[in-house]
Amino acid sequence: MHGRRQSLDVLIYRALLRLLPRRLWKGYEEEMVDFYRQRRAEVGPGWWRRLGFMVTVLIDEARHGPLTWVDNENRPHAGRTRRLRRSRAGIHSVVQDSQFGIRMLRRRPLFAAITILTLGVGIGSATIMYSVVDWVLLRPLPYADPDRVVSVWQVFPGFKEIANLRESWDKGWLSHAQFESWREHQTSFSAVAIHDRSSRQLTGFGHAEVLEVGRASASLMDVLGVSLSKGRWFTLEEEYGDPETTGRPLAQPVVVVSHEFWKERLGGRQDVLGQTLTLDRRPHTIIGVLPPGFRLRILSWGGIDVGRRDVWIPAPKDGGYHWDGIGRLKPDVTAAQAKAELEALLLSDIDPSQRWFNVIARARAEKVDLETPLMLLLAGTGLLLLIACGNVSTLLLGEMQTRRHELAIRCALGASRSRLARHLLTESLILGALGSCVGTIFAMVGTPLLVRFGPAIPHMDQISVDLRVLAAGVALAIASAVVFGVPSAYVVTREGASIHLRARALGFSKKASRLSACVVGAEVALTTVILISSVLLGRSFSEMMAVKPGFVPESLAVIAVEPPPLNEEELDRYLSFLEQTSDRLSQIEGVSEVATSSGVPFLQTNSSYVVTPGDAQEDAPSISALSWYVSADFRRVMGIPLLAGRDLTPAEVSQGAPLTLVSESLARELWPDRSPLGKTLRYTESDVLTVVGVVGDIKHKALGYQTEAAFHLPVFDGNGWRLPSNFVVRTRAGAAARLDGLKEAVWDQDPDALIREATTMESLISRSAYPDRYRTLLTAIFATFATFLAAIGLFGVTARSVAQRNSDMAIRMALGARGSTLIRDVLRGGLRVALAGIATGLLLSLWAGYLIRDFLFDVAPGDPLTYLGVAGGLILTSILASYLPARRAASVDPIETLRSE
Amino acid sequence: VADLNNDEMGQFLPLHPLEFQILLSLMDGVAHAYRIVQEVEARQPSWSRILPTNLYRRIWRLVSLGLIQEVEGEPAADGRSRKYFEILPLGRRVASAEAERLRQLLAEAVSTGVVPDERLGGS
Repeated sequence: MHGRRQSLDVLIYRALLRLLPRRLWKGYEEEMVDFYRQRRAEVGPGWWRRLGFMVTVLIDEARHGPLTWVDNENRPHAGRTRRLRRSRAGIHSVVQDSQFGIRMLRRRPLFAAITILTLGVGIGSATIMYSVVDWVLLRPLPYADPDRVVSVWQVFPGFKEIANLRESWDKGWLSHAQFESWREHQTSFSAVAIHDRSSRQLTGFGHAEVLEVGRASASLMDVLGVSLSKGRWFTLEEEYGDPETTGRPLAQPVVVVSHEFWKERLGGRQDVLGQTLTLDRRPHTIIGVLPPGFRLRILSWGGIDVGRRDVWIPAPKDGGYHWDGIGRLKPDVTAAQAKAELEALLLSDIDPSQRWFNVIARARAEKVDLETPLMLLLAGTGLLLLIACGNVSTLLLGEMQTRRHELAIRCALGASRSRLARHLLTESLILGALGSCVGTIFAMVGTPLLVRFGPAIPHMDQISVDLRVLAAGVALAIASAVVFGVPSAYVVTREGASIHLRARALGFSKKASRLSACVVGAEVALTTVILISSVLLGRSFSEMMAVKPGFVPESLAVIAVEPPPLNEEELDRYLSFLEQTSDRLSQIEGVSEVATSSGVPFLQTNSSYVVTPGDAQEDAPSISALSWYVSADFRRVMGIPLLAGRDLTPAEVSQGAPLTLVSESLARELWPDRSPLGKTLRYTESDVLTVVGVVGDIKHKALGYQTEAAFHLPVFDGNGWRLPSNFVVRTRAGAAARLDGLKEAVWDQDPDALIREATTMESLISRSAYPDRYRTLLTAIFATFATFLAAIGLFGVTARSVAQRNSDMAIRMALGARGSTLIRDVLRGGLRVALAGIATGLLLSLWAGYLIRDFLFDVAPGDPLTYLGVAGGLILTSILASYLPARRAASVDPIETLRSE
Repeated sequence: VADLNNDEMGQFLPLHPLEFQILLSLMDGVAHAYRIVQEVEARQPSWSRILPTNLYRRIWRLVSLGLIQEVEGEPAADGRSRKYFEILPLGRRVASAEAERLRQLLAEAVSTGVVPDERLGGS
């Protein structure tokens, strides 16, 4: 056509032109399309710019299009004077049209309300979801030339076999030593860096508190190409900070603060550079402020890190093994070349099948763990929007049907067709505009709610209602109102007055009924999909909440204290502080027992070790297990059952005797079919522990997680001290009521103690299920809307078909048909549509269930009970939706009806 | 086009600003739509972008009123024919009547002190 490829927007634009008076678009179509293309070329590349342009064009069309009809009626066939007078009258008539349209809609408040709400919900939810997806998945990373930035991960295929490391087997950390060697010898990158997260205690700002601290090498800003708002980043000397390396006396350590920390905690003071911040009791000099919204996520581990840090400090020399590697490729170097060089540098003497490196575009790496859930959610929203549009179309088609009579009479009384079409167009536009208002309000209110209560996903705190997205949603609403409302208006007016007054049975109405039946069938199918997904998630959630954690969470309080940084001398004093505090807590009224622990299930887990039987042969099993340092009565206070052997005595615990308790699953893995008692457990090269008891398994992270093996570890494990600074308190009743008293008791012992968390075990468990609850709630809301919309659609279609067949029914009744027969007939018609939809929906749900299988806990994606239940529920809903119109049909007075025809 | 007295001329006024600008752009000779818009936007940088429906609504109206007319002109670069527009004598008279109207309006504004009297055109 016209010798060049027509892009979609041009086709849409051409279609829109058809709404203008024929003389105008016949004369100027090509010119207008050309002009459209030239204007579009001016806005530049990028789909978002195009979309923005498209929206302005739509607004232009909506604003001026109807007025061209006014101009058209004033075309010069009459005297000029009359023409001009009419032109003013014409402009007046636009106002009149709007007033008339609003009056017409007010006469049908139910229709108007449902259409507006439907559009509003569809637009609002689509806008919210799209804003999230846009922020999280679509925006380019805020770095200079982001395509050159890559993540460097170490791959350990062996980790696939270890339960707790399975998720991150191909996203392994770099060690500091590897980084040093890489930085020194590499040639593929213009800069390389590492970073990780840590925490520091901040003092000197009221109550002591914990800061999220990023640690990074001096080259980080070169890698990201980010400039600071104020001051500077660390230098290499500051990273090494060692007088022997730099030959300079060790200056005060330095810190770079985030923009948010500077604004909120430091009051945005201009003279912030050079000020001192006390972290872990050491003064640090502030040398820089990061730009607003700076985030750097750690990607090389299983969980989702949102990348917010309060402050940044230099990575320590010899800083261990757990670093996230990142680099900026030189312009001509590919990721594959960089990978090859990296492996040659760091893996020269290692079997390449045991370990290798991945060099992955950062943009890709950032999104990989978020894509599926967000896309599913977006798909859900898309379905909802489709259902909403479908509903609007059936509603409008139905309206045209019922108003044929009115339109025909107006036509017969001399209303010009263009005037009628204009009326209908105005009504559609009013509906679309009001729907957009509702949608806008929905999005404006919903987005902050989502941000407030939503899950911790990256950028969540930055998301706001995106005006471009909202504009697109509004354009979509108006377009769907126009697209579905106007064509039927044209058909109605083209057919003219005579036909409508003559007969009822018209080709148009049949076509329209069939069309709306199809649309409603599709709606029912989509609803089935959403409902089944929602019920699957809901059942999975309740299955999960029914899981026993392995201990007794009721009336258990948790006071987690963050130990300050300690040196050897201070350690004893701190341990005795913990002991005294424990005694003090147990004396509080209503407290029955207190235990201390280095970790708390559902709050803070301890590090894990790969353990083997102490007398290991070649093929001995090895398993990753969590290590706990707990007081002797911890098991009893928590209510964990003792399955074999005995507890440790307080003396054994305090002396660090090489004895241990193991969890049931650990015993089963290491010593299948044998008693573990008296066996030894190896957890480092040199350290072995003798098993004296076996305890029940408990959940450590979340009820839905697999039970992890665990063992008791003495207080000193060879690498460092694990401090039992968490208090687990068994109360006689109502743990929540005791929390304030418990906190006061801790502060009585040490006013500077940093209480990180004071809560009940039950709320910790509930918090751990938060993402699942959120997901379940969200889909339940979706499903409710969808069901509601589909029921309305079905009701509309049935009611309309009943209205059309009013006289048939009247004749049949007059001939002796019983009301129940008529009801059955109508129900059959409605059910046929619904059943077709449900059947299609069930098939689609198998696929949808497969997509969400990862979120399901103990429920099969094809769970037959769910499918049957949802199908049954929907059939009942359909019967209800068809029954109301059917009963009305059966209750008509045949004489009345036939007379009015 | 027959002479119109001032009264009849008044029926065209006031012109829509864009219609007036289109007439001004055609004063120097024929032009196609895109050229007209470029000139208008160069003269009126503060206006928001002129979009197709608005533009052709105005052009169409001017054609219908007999102020401008379509003429054949050079085809576009890719050989397709292109519509050019030419101002008609009536259009010129309406444009100058509109300009005169605006000048009077401005003079009134100055005399009431709404705007300062700075190099008022024509004085």
